[in-house]
Amino acid sequence: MDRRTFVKAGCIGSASLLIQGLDPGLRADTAPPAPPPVELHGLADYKASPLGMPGLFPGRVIEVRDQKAIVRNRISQPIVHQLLERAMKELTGESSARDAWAKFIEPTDIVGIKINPSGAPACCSSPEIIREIIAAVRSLGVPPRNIVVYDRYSYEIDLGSYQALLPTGVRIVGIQDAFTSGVVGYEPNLYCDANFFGEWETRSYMASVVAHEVTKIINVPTMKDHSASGVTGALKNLAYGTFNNVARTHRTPHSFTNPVIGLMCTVEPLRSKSVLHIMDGMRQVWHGGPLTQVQDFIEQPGILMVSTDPVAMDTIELEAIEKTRSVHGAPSLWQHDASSITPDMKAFFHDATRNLFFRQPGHIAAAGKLGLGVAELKQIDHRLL
Amino acid sequence: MTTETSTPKALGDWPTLLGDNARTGGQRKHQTHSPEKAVWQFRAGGAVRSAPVLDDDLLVVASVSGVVHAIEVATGTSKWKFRAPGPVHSTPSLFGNAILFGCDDGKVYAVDRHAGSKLWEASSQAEVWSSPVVRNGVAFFGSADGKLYAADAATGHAKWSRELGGRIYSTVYAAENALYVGCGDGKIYCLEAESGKILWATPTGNGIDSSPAVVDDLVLIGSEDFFVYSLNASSGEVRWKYETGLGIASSPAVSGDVAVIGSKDGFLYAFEFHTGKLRWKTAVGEVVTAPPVIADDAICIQAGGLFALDPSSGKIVWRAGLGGAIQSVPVLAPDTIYLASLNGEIYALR
Repeated sequence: MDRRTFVKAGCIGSASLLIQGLDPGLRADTAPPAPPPVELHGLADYKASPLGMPGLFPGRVIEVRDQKAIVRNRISQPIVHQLLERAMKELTGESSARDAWAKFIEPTDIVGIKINPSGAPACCSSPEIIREIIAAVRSLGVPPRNIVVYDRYSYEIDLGSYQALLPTGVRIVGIQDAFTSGVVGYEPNLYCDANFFGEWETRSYMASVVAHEVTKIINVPTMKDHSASGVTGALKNLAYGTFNNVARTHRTPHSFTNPVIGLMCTVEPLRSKSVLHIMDGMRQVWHGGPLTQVQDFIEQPGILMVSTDPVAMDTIELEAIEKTRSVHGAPSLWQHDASSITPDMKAFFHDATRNLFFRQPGHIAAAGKLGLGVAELKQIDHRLL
Repeated sequence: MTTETSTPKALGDWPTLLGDNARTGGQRKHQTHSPEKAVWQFRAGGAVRSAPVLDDDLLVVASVSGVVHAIEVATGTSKWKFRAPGPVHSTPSLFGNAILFGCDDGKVYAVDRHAGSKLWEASSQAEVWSSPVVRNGVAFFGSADGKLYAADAATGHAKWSRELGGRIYSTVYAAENALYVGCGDGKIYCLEAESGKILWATPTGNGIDSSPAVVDDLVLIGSEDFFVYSLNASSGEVRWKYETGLGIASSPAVSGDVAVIGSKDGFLYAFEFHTGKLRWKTAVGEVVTAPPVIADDAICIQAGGLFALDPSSGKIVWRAGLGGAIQSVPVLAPDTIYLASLNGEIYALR
């Protein structure tokens, strides 16, 4: 049982009823169902921004790393500060960090910072990095009340203690709690409609904070494998953290995260508002993602990546996690071996050869075909500092 | 006249976070048995992040949906409910006939315990998740605006406020003349209760979500820097600190010479609080963020489910598969355990 399920299940004492997607009627040796048609409803007359994905620097990914940035699971605020400044200057070609940030943010912006707290506390967007981003945005003249740190689930933000760790004045928004259904916090006219497995609710709605409140989004994904999508990076953090009712896209062993992740990222105004992606690779989860708390599968490479292109960024992330898995003798994320599929959460969390779904790392290349960025590794300008 | 929230009127009362202002973990001279059944179940209609409190025949529970419920413990039925203008993450506290709690609209409300009507409100500039604590007729609370506030507990009129260096989610420990509180800037503060003057501030390595306990001139608290700290209450000098595996949002409960606190690494730790020597540590869940409570014969904590541990060995003696929580704490009454779950279900277990 994963932690999210564990917390929920612990509350009502009926864990087996709550494990999403574990349908014994669907066996690993069954053929994948055909992808259903997916209907997207974005803002009809929204004028696309040139800053929107893939943004000002398509195909460019800056990677900075310092092993001293994280020592025994603790992140160094001063080193993160240096890493982020170097990366931003390299990405933009500007000589000052302030000028680099000014390419994306104006003083009048309402800036959303999309965190990923879903693996908290073991691996989530580091508050130290969020603090640096907030400081940089504020240095441009954006007042704290116009900075919104957000994600879908308020209880996951709470588990990460972001509310206590971020500066005063900044708004911290959990779009929903884990136990309330309905569309409160979501925009009913902006949605993705598809029937994947015969579910009763076929729509996933866009968060109102994205649709109506923020004018720019800085996306802060973490570096993790994902049991359904292969990896969770910039694309998935945006898509599945902006739309509700997304767990329905995967039911063991099958996953429609490809093409849904990319499709959701094309919906306006999400696409245009997402101007910068800062991947927190201080920790790297190479198995058990996105929710694992098992430290055996979490490395601490001290990486930070910045890009305006989420496809290129996730392509680099996928390569890195594949490499780590290979070092540990774990099968490739591309492997679709029916014997590796298990409905047993405990087996999945503690055995890197097991998985819950046939992973879909192809969602990254699919997003590339939708024009969201560069997926071909040879075409990516990957600068390692 | 009641001057503080620390004095239960009856044996079973549990008027504030961890039972009383002394954060003794609600220890009671009665046994806590493994529950066999739920006597009643109450649905709060929204997630419950905070802990319930008990006053005689009323259990008071605050919901993130903004509704504060007063539940008749004999029947599990609603006596009244108060709808606040915003979400309520704060653990209520009882003061005389008033129930005090913070709200995300930046205010602390006092509600009449019999009628559920508003008595007064006190304002801050951002959400109040901490629990108001009353001592000598003054209510103290921290706010996410970075200020600590003192207000007349009978009227809500402001007495003073003091800006600290970060968001305050830690609940104040109110001693006779001094206040102790953790802050998002990573410091543990001691302030003069009368004026709010900062007497000392001791830094830790990261922000603080935990609420302090004070025993024998020692301040005990956890930090997101992974350490449990023990400070000299008079000077703020670090007496000892102990490193856990991850950050600490849990708060200490104290019984005898032992302090117990959870860590996000999934363990519950028991220390000899004078020396910092570890008595035991026990894995109770993947993540522990709630405070433990201490009964005569068991330490209870909500971490995914409800766990009861032997105080001397740390061995888990029973567990119940309900009661997942972020900050909720079970209320241990003589014959009943009252439990609030994150999903908004409230139970009376016997």
